[in-house]
Amino acid sequence: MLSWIPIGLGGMLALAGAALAIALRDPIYAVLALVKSMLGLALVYFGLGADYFGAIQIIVYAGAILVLFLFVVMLVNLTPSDIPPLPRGLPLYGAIFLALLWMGLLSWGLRAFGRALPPRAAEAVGVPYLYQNLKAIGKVLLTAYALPFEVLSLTLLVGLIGATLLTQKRPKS
Amino acid sequence: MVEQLLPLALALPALGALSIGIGGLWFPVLRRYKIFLGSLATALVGAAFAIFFSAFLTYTKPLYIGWPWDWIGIEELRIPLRYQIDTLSLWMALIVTGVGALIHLYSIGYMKEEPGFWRYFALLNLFIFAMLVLVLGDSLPLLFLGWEGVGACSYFLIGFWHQEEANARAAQKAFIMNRIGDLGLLAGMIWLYAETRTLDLDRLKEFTYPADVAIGVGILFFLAATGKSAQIPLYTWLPDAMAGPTPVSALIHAATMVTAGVYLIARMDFLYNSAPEVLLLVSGIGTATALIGALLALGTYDIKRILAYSTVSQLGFMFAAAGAGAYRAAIFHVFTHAFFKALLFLGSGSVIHSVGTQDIRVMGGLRRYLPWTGNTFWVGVLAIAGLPPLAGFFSKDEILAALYARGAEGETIYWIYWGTLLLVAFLTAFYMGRAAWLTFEGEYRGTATPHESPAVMTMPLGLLAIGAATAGLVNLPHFLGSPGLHSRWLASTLQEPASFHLAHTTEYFLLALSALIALVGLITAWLLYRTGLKGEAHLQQILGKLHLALQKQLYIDTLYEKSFVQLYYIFADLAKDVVGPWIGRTLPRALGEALGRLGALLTRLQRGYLPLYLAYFITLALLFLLWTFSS
Amino acid sequence: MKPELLYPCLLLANGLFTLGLLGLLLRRNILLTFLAIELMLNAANLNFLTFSRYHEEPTGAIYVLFGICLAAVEAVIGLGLVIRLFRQHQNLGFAKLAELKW
Repeated sequence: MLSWIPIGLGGMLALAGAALAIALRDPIYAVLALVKSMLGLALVYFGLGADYFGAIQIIVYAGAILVLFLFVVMLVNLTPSDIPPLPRGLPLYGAIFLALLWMGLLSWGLRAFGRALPPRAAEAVGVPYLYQNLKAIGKVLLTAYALPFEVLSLTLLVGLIGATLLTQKRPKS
Repeated sequence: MVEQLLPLALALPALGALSIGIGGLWFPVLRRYKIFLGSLATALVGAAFAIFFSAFLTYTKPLYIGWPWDWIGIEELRIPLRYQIDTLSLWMALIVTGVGALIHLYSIGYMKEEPGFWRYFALLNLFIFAMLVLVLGDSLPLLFLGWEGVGACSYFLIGFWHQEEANARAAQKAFIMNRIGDLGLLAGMIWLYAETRTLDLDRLKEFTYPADVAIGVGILFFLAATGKSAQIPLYTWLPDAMAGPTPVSALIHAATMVTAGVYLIARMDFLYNSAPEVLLLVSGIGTATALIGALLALGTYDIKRILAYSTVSQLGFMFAAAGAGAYRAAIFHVFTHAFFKALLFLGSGSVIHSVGTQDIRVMGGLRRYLPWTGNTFWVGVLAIAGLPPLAGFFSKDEILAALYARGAEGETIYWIYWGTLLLVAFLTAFYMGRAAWLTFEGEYRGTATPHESPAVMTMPLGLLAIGAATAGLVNLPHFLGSPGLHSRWLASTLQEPASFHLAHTTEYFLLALSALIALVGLITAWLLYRTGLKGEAHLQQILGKLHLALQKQLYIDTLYEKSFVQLYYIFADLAKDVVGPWIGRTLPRALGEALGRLGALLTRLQRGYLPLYLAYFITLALLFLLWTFSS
Repeated sequence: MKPELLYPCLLLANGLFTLGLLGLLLRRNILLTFLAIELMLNAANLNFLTFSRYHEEPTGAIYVLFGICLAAVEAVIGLGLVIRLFRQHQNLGFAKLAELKW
């Protein structure tokens, strides 16, 4: 019963933040609303018992990525007057209709999970799985998922170099 | 031995056409060696004749010169590249190469001054090759290939002097009228194939044809024959075809190509035998054409046109015979006609060469200046008139006897044909006598100084004259105690529906009758024309209005001009003014505009606005979801 | 994890995703659509984590880790592109960024 509280609270926070993020005109407010949404999501992760991921969510997402967003917003000097207002008429209702249809369809399609299905026993990795146990996660990451992990680090490197190249003032033509 | 040589006989003229044609085209320096080119072409055809002749002497049974590959092979339709040597095709090949070689020889002298000499000989050799394909081909498509080949050569050679528009027009006329007939051949072929699933002549023979197929295909093939052999209603191209060089007229438009129609009908004897109605039609058309041709020859002053009409008329005789089922008599007439008509044409060519005109009104007395030409021409005239014992007498008599015999068997309509042809025989003797007297006897009425042609031209004349005089002897009527070689030779190939048996006394009577008629015709001509042109006035008096009509070719050309040609022009104008602009301008423009509008509509879907693309993407993803969940 | 929690978590992820979709469709500034994409990415992460917890299997959780990393890279590259675009056009609105149309 205990996990309902952080999940429910975090979920509402996340949804509200998301709604604000897409609705607010001021880009800075929108990014901040997204930060709120990320924090709510982190709360949900805590509720799910994945403390480590909750922490990462806060550190990486709210702390790094969205701050990067903020930087960019300020760098390009985006003011509310630069942002066109939400469309009216057909584009608005059409988009809402599409989104609702999507939501309804997916919820309806996933309704089977509403019935409490028994969880599948996890033996694929063979490590007793505890989210709280950082040691266990590190072990999995460096044994079974060693190669993807390395590829990921490479990806990060590529992203780093790419971003540097892209934002150079005068790239070699 | 001969079997191995036979493919060569077919290949030699093709080789000549290729080497002379390509040599003349790509190496203009070669064009100057006229004697060499001419004698090369002549020698090749002569060699082909020699090979065929040795095959003739050693003939025992039909031979097939096969190539190991198919010419056409589409599923069950197999047209092998194969030639058959049976008595009929060998006989035709002998005529083609024999007369062809002589005419080649003659052409060396006749075309000596011509800058297009090489072109002429290449085409002449090509013609010989195409004609051989026509007569030797063992399937209808191969026959058709030759048929079109000779048509094309005919077109090229009629328009040999194409710088003059009239010649080009004559060539086109011949070509187009032949196309009408070719349509019949093609349609008949397709029909036959639909019935029998084969076009092999040997295999076609084995079928029995239901009446409708035999009649339909028979009429279609006869249409083809009327085109190629200048019969009613497609005969008007032949007189115009005289625009070509005279040896061409002799070879293509008298001796060989125009007899292809007769050959076709004789070749398809099995089909025609099961369609007696069509045979009746063939005979009737042949008779009518013979009459019209003979009449038209009366109203003509151009010596070549007289001979052309005479050819039309003689071809009518052949068709009348074929229509009576007397295919052998028809082929026999093809054979004798090749000699005397080639002789007459070459003789007229020699005259034209000498006096520079074709109008017999300004000739006369030429036998004194051109003794060889004149005397041989006279042999030809007597032969075509049917004076015994020259060639025309026997072949014409055989035709008349066949028609009479069919009449005696109870089909009295053949008696009508017989009677008409007797009249035509009289007219033939008369108009040929007229032409000969006006050209060679009396006083010279022209201004040029006539001279005899060189030996290279007179030698073929002499050889052809011997042929014209003696060719009939190969088929003496059997009651004269001779073997009737020609009839027996062809008997193994051609199936005739009737026996044409007559009592001896009747045959004697008929023989005497044709001789008498020929004589009467010649005497009439002599009475009228021994004094030169004065007889022409008498003739005009006798014929009255008819003579006027004859001068206008009986208005047939005008009729065709006014009906078909004008109709065609109307259609052409319609196409030019209505259909063309509509199809060519309005319709494409409207289509283009419609497509442009559609495109403009579609560009609104793709205006580079990202959220719109996203919406499409999401809509499709939604549809995919729907599809996943619904299945 | 209690099985009853599964469906609500899925619905939550779905809701976040739908909001991201809506943002993508409605916002006409490339930076703000980027925000919407981040939302959708997080919805996917939540899904992974939920099922991972549900089945007590670490694979899904590892994917979440990868997903966050990828999000970081994507943000870096994407924002780099945004800066480039801004330098070129002095504008980040789609109405002006219509170069896909030739």
